[in-house]
Amino acid sequence: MLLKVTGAQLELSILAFITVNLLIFLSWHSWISVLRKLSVGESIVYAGLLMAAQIVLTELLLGLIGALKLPALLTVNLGISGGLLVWLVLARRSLAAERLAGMGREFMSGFRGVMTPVNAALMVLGIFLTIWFCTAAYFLPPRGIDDLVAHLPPIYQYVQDYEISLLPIKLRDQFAMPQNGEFLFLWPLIFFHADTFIDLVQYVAALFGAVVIFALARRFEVGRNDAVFVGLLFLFTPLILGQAGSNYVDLIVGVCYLTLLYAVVRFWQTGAMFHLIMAGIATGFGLGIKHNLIVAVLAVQPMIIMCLWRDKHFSAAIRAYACYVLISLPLGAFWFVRNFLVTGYPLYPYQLNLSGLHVVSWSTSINFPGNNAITQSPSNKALMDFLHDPVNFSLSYMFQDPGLGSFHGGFGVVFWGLGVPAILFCIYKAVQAAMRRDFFPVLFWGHVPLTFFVYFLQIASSRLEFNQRLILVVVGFGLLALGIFLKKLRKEFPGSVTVIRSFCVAVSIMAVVHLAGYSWPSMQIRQPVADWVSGEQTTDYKYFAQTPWDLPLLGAAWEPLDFLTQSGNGWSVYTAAPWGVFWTAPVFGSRIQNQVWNFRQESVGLFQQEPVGNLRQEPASNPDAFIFHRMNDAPLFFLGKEITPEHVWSDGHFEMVTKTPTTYFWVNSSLLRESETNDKLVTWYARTFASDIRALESIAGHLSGNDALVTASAWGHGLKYLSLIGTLQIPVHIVPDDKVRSHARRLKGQKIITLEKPLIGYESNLVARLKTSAGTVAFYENRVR
Amino acid sequence: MGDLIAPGSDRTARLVVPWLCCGASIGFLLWVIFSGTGELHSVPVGFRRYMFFFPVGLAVSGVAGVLLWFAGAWAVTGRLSYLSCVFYFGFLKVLGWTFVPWILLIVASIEFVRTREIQVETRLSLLLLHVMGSLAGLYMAFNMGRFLQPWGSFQEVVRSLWLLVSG
Repeated sequence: MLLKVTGAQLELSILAFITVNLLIFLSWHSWISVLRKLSVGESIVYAGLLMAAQIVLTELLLGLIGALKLPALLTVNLGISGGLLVWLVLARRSLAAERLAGMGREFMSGFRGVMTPVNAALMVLGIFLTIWFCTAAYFLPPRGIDDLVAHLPPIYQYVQDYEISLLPIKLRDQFAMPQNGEFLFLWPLIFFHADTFIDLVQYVAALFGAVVIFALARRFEVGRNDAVFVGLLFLFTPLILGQAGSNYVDLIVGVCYLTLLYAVVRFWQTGAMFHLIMAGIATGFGLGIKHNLIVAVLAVQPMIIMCLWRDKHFSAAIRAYACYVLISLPLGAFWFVRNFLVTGYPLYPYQLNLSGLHVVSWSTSINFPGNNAITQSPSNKALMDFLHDPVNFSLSYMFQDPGLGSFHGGFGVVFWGLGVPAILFCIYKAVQAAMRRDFFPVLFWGHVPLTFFVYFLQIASSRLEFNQRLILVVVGFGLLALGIFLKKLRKEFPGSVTVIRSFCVAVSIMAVVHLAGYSWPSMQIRQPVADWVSGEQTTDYKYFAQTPWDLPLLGAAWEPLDFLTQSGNGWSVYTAAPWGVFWTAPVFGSRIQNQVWNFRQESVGLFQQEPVGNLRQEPASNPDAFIFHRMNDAPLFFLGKEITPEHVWSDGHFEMVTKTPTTYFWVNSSLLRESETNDKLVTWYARTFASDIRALESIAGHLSGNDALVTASAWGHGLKYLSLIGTLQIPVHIVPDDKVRSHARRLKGQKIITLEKPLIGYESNLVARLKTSAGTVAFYENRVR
Repeated sequence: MGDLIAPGSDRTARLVVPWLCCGASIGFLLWVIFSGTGELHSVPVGFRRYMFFFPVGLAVSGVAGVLLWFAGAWAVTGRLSYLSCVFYFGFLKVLGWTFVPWILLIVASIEFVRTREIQVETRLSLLLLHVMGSLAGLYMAFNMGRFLQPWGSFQEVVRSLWLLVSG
């Protein structure tokens, strides 16, 4: 693997990664430039699409044959791209050089024209944003909740197994969702064999989205200056900023939708098969990302079919359409076929039949047996609410901007304030055009009301704030419409254009400021940078503390697990938690070094239609470590063999490394005895509990001469550190809350130290008191009577 | 008078747009003036208050428009639309800025006097501009605080990046 590296090696790996990506991009860029005379924007859009398609398709093919390893992946991709370049050099060198030189001249002349103060300001803001995102990706772990729940565990498993498989869908239905988007995360993941840069994938998608909007705007005859402007604004939409730092796939979905539209628009404008082929690739790619692209694909069909009807004879049209469908299959079909074979439902966890769209959730049926396996589709309350009171609903929807301040939503003022009126203007013009029998505008702008309609049909009003990301594409439409309206304003009210553009820059700056306050995902880098500067770093997982929900609590186990295993072969980790917080991605570790023991417990054949899904066999060995997490009174969910905290404690071979009131982390004692692991444990305790340790050092001398210290207190971590380095010359045992007495009895020691309470049934003396800002901690010596 | 009315337009249409635009603007201005900062931020309380002032604005605008109509002052009614767009910068008052909204008002008034008559072909653009100003202004009125609240966190981000770059 290229990674297990630090410092200069990491820089070399980054350089190699950038070079490989540039090579793939340039090979496609040169190839399509030779095939057709394209504009700069168009060539970037198509080269980007082809690059993504190549990466995903090669990963898919290698994953299916169990050869998903970096050397094989690099060989295949460099072979394809290198082959393309060699062919270009040998066969079309002069044409390629001429076209690329022409494109370069066009770019340079155009670049000078678009460098207005407003665009320059947005570009500077974009550079700042890029530095911030790169820093955050490097220092912070993947932390979007769906990243950890559903998007990342499957690809982590593929990296370990070198093959594509299906994780247990009785835990998460989402494991069976299409994964072309996740396969883009897999690209840097497999290259670095670490999660370090996977957070940047959606940011790159956002940059690409800006180019697609620019290219679309140019096709609507928006001036280059305004096209660049609206393209850049895409980056500074609050929702895009939130999504770009996460491993959700909604941004990729939205950008793919826009790319598909671009290709279809160009097909309509030119009638060239080249664009229809690009549309086919975008269709397949999109269908393989997320089910909601199905609506988009259906919505572009009238444009394609009408164009074929307009330009070709019937048989030629059929051939062209068949070609479009065939091109879309390699990237789109696998997930549907796989799901059909494994679950019986190609669209799992949905089923589409004559009575509509239904949810078919095995995860729900198993974890909530009171529910029917097949439930009705979600309430259409948002649509009903809209129809009931359209004015209030719309006003509230616009100005509350559901999900603002997170990756869930927040279309921002540029969309709601400027984009929506501009869209209405474009729709008005489209209807006028349709009356003149020019149907293209209405087919294009009809996507906006259709998107909102289908969305409101599916989503309950109460869920709007979590799901705006599903219709993120409308932001692109809004910006495109704004660009078109700016073109009109330049003729009629030129002064207003400056006002609007300045306003947009101001709100873009505010959106970037706002990003610093996001908690989904947290983009705050103060603590990581401070730790890095002071040399107090442990692992990225420390910064789960910055995120909401139960992530900080679970981070107490994930952080030491990652820190202790980063340099070795990793451990096999059993985990159990209530179903709602049974999150597995961080268990793999930041270098994908650990195995989730539970995932290897659920075996099922590829064609077996059971409510479980895993293609691997049960491992022979027992877990090396255990993570248990509790949330309120929710029962623990067990995946695979049922092992409880009681079982682990009773076994006696495991030491508790960390304990919080909700989270237990046990490790096999023999592993902790290994000198490297022991040293790392000491380092981790020292860096994590430094203030506790300073306080405890003063009373360590009072505790010597006893047989052991048993505690369920948080002070146990500092005491364990003192014991490990020899300052405290008795073993320290951290145990669950209800096991202090049992553990003391099991040790069979004569003199046991406990904290806060004496042991019942022992003769106890108070031996020390530790005064802290949080109160006083009492240490008792307990002697067997 | 004839040269002020673009071909194909009618007088009613020329009156309705400025009436709506100015009505909404006057309503907004009254709302901004008579509401505290906190009241503007909250949804839907802020809306209910605006919905009260909106018809008041329409009434004022309507009376003024009718008077101007009788006077045949088409140019003035048209210019009102320009004026109304600028009024929406009044959202700055939401931020607690004392003087700036009034300065904007003065600038807008000067513009009102100075601007040429609006041609009918540009009426749609003008209406859209007005809607954009209104929606953007209202959006910012409700959300400006949310956007600027993390200013301290943002400063920490900038300081951290600077630390990395300079270190």
